[in-house]
Amino acid sequence: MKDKTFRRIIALITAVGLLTSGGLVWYTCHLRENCSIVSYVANGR
Amino acid sequence: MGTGKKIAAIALLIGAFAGFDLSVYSLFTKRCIDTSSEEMQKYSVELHRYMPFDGSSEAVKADTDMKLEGELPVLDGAAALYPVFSGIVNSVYPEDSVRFENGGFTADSALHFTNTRGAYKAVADGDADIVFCAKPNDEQLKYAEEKGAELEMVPIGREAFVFIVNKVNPVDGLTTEQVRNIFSGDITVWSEVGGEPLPIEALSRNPGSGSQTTMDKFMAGREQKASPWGAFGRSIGYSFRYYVDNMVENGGAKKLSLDGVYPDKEHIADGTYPLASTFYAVYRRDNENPNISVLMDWILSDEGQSVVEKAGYVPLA
Repeated sequence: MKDKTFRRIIALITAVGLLTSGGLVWYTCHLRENCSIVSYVANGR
Repeated sequence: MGTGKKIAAIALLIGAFAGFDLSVYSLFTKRCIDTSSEEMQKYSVELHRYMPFDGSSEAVKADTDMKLEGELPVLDGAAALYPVFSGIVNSVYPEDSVRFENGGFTADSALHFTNTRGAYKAVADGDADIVFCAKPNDEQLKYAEEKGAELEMVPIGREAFVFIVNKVNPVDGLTTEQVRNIFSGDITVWSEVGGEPLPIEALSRNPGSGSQTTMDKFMAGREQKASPWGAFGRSIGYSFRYYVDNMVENGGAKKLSLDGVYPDKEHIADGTYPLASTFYAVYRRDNENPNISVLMDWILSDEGQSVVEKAGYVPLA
């Protein structure tokens, strides 16, 4: 595998990973503000 | 770097992101996902489930000959009490008095639902005639005063304020002092109250909600504080008994005994549960709608109290 190709793959995975993780954290914060205490306790631990 | 090492680095990077996402989902996201209807996510209550005059709904109905006519009082109230006031409408209001469109009640409907905060505003503003709630907080009383509204609060039934944990939590009961210490941040680990060595996540609600107002009174001036590590442990929350038992997906939650007394109907009725509380029908004293006194007399009658009982609450003795 060429170094240039490797760097591109790493950059692509990092970009997709950051977007996915950031989106998941944002979605979780949004859900937490809106869900009821009872559902939160029932679905949690 | 050789090709093998490059592939290993790519796999490691993918694994790191996947591991982070999986951890966030299992630790935080999963417990926030509300599995119920769109209405419930918006209001934390399923309006259709207790819709008056709908044969398939669970709205209760009293055995009565009384039917209101003329100027119908507009009813509103707390989520936990929606089955009571929807049952009152179902029993004594004309069928065409309730109008529901696009996921909400229309302005000309005699039944509204805006939850505790909205209901106290509505009764002070004159948008609702009678609201069904726990006692108002200072802010709600101040708002009513600013609007020149003197509120009449008539007790109509009894409920219990309960503390809940997940069913996997081995703790089944707490003392009132332990609960206060947990929510004020003085106790932060479950092992201090007979549980596992895990952090306590003490949850709280929005100011102005009926359960938060009750919680503020229970805390007796102590400020609620949550441990930053709580999300990694087991949570504890609070609500009204009926709401926990009947109105939300609660399969994973259990109610705690308080000072050794379990919050069931028997212990609410005999007053041994420490946080048994009264709920009220609230209206403006200067409201001239003649049907308010007619309806209040009926609610306090045996027929009216049967609605309270059939809806799953404890009627007045």
